[in-house]
Amino acid sequence: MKDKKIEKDHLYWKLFSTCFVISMCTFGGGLVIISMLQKKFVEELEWIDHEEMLDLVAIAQSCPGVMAVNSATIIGYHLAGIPGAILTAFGSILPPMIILSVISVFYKQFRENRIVALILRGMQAGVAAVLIHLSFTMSKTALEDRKILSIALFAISVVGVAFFGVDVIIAILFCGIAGGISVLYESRKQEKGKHI
Amino acid sequence: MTYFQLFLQFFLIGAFSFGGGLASMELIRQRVVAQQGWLTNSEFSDIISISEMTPGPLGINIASFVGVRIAGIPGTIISTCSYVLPSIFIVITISWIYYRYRTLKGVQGVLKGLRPAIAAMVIASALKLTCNAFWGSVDTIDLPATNLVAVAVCALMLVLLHKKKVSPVQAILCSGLIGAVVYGVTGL
Repeated sequence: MKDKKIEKDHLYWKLFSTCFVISMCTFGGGLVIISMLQKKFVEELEWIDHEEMLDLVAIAQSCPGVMAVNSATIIGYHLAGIPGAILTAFGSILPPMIILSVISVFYKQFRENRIVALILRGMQAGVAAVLIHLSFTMSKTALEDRKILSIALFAISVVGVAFFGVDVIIAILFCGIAGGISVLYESRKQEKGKHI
Repeated sequence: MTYFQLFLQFFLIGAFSFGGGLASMELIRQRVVAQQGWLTNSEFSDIISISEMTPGPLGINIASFVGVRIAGIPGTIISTCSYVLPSIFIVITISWIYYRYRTLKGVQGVLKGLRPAIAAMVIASALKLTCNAFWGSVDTIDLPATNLVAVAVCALMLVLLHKKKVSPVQAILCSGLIGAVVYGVTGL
């Protein structure tokens, strides 16, 4: 216990600095950051074991928001309570915040440069392609259970959001509630089946 | 008032961003572009490109960028922090439940239910940003004025993404280079 107290400052600093460095050096989103966090906290520092890490990642994926920040927050919470959670979250949002603030300030000059403007214009087609591709993969996952409920929710959401400008938040709440009710209904049905 | 709007909009975006970076683009676009007019659709597409090439998650990058543009450094601090605030709160609550009960069954059920909404969201943003790339606007489709270069590059990238499994970053970089050369040479 005494050791833990002495190490507390060290722990806080380590949590903050690790998340700061990982967030600053990692390109390419969520899963990459999670594998870096795993390498550091599970393999190098051995503060978390493998099994637990899997569950922590599952929680991070279930929560709204950015998966990388969520994972860092859970690790912080797990190792040092609420102060730890705040430190790791802050450590991971600080680098992108600084970088994008700088870009934002120079965006106008940046955009007016002829070559940059041409590149960014070309990239709009690439962004479109990435989103179209993601649409297909996401639709496939959404419909893979082949249930009427999923198909109906999917059809209603697509038409509503894409063509009638329905607020995405409403679509999410609607589908979340419908999904929750169907899970409840199914688990009840299963329980009844057991009794018979 | 601006500070409050920044806080409110990004808090809502943060609370409902399910499914990761690109999946929540339509949620952000509806609020930041369509409702508040903080960015144009083209600027929004630019930010996605820039974000893919700078470290850090997409949502945070957009929050930081918009914050600075609307209200300077205080703006960026407000928008970025309010964006992650709901998830920090929810993450801590769920971890607490997890350590107490060691199960996440109910949570996973609701999440599965969300999938159709998330897919719908991606489709909507794909439609809007594709229209923007092809016709320079999200709600007018003017067939004679189609940007054929964009259509060709987009089709090529789709094939690469699907068949060669290139990453989104590679696809966006590649389309930027091709686009710059073609637009530069033809002077379109």
